[in-house]
Amino acid sequence: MTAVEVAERRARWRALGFLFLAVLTCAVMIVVRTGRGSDFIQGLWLGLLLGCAFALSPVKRWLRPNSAGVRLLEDEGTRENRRLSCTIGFWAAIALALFFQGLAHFNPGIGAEEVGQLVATAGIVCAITAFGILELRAAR
Amino acid sequence: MSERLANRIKAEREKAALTQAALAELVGVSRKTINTVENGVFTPSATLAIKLAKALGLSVEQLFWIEG
Repeated sequence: MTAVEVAERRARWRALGFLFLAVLTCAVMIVVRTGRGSDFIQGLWLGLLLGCAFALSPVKRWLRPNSAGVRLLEDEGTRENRRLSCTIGFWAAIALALFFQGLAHFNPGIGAEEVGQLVATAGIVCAITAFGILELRAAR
Repeated sequence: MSERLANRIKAEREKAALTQAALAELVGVSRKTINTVENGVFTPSATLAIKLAKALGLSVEQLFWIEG
């Protein structure tokens, strides 16, 4: 198997992993927001969110810039997909924050913790979902 | 009016009997990057455009042109 094939297989698994992480983060968020979340579930949500943010960062390229495998996995097509998905995540978070800002006029009881959790989750989940879809679409 | 970067990578690659993976190996990127450049989804950097042209034995202007 050539280096390109290995990189492609790893990129596909990474994209599928991102989509799975997005679904899992949403599921945990729902559990947290429906009031059934224990401290463990809250911690799991935070851990998942930080894990997603870490996975979305080009940390491998920073740590191993001279590795041939990493160069293939983090080539300019991937960097463009990452840039686009982060932009999508940013605008999703902004849109939801503005929605809550409007909603607060009608429902002043809405809490900062709730808004923070939802905005952060929306931003990260949209970004990793977009990245997963863009990577899978590029590999077709 | 919108402009887009068109290319003849697919035709030249097939003429050279290269697969997307083989061309990717030659220029040092992933196959999906070759796929997206070929389909006009992704506009390559100048560096990649030069590498692609060199791998296919053409000039950048022969491989890429602006449409629209």
